[in-house]
Amino acid sequence: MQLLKVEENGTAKLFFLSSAFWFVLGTLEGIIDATDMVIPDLFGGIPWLVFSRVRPMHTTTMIFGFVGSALLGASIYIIPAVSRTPLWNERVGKVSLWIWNISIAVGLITLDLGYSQGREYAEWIWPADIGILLAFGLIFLNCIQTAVRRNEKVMYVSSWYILAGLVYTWIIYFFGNAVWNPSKGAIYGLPDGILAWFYGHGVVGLFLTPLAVAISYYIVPRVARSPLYSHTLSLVGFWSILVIYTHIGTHHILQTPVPTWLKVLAISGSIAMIIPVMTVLVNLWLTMRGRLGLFHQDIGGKFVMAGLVWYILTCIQGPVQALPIVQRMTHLNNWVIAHSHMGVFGFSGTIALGGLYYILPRITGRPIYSTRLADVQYWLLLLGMAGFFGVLTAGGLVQGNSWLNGETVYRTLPMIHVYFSLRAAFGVLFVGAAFIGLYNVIRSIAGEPRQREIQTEKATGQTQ
Amino acid sequence: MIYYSGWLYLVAISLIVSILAFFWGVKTGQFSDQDRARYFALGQDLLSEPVETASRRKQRVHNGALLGIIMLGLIVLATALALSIHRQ
Repeated sequence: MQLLKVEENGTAKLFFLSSAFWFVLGTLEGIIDATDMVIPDLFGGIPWLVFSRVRPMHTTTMIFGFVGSALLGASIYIIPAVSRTPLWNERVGKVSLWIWNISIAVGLITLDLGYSQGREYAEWIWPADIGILLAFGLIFLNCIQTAVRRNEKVMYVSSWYILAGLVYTWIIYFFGNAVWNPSKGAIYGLPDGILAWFYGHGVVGLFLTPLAVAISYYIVPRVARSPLYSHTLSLVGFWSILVIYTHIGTHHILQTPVPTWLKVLAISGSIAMIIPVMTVLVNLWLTMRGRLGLFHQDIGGKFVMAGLVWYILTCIQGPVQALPIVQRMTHLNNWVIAHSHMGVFGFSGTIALGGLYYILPRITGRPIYSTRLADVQYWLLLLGMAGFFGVLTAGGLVQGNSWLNGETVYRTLPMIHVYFSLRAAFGVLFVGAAFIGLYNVIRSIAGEPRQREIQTEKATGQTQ
Repeated sequence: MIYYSGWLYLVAISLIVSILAFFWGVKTGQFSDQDRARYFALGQDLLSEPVETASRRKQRVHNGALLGIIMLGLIVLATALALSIHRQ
């Protein structure tokens, strides 16, 4: 059967293609939402374009469809590579790929038809949840079987992160979506709020972060042509993130009557997150030190480097904004939207793209179709993300300050209209970049690299 | 406290999984020979790939852009902190 065709690294390749496709859809949904915020009457109440449906479609498409698919594709390539053994079963990989994509499609279509479980990032209906859990289970099975058959006694840190990320994601997805309660996908009262944010924060911290860090630990030494600075330090970071990250999600609901001990646990855990983050950043920085020129030249390395810069900011901002004194100014306004975009797109998404552009040529055995197009995509995304972050953060501070002045919500809306307009403008850059990426990935998988670029590269090589 | 028992079970499961994995790691020697593990990302295939460095101009532009982003992030964070303390 063609859909389940067994070919070396075929699963990883199709996960990358899926990611590029979902990226286009996710950014289109995002631009619809952004436009809706500027001109609320534009779509005239067309049911399948209303904000309340498109917004969860946008977040879940980006998290699972775009970033998730690319991270999973890279993980399925990296585990065999560092284990010095082929993937355990390509056919199982393909099955997991199709279940994954079909589940995402089911989740999105039903959301657009108005079927939602109404909890952030967990809106998909029960059948889609079961599909996602099944896909995660199969991917874990494939990865663990590959790791078991490894030809090295010691597992590389990337394998630790990938395997743990898959186990934890399965656990948080199962509990966070309350799949034992198919009709609601929720429990009750405040415990549901705690559970929802255990999940909501965990999706970023226990799914996207471990896989993105795993990719960085694989790509940075390779682009730098240098061994990892310290494998011991990387494992210290790994074990500390496992212990600390699981219980900090309550910092999202500090304003609710959650018991104080739980708030203290969440806030202190959030601040302690500086430890695992610094182990990653220091280790990778010391690995790439003195070799930055190689990263600027390699398109995959360049994306990973930019992703790590966003990681620094995300992880400095996160602990600080977990403090109640800061949350009075920043919570429930556009500051948080800026932060979440920085975490999901700036950090994880950019590193996922780095993984895609670094690994895809090694799967196809030929350069990507156009490094120039990939470079244009890179700069569009860097500029778009920086502008998006700056604008939304500023708008959030305006909102927070006004609310503390006693202004009502509707009176602050005219004040932030200009920020919403600028947000939509920067969003256009994302949409353009996503289309460029999809075109480049399709051509890279399907055909030969661009002739003109090859000729230019040859000419440059001859003159050097 | 019983009200939150479901959540506590969840954290407990997470920690138990971590502890089990840790002891498995100790038992199977996963924390030995760490120096060799540093090289696992590098492979023979890299030897056949050309080493290319970006031009100094390209490096300056890219470094400048990334530094600019870090500065932007730190400035907005400092602003939020200042406003928060001022409005306390």
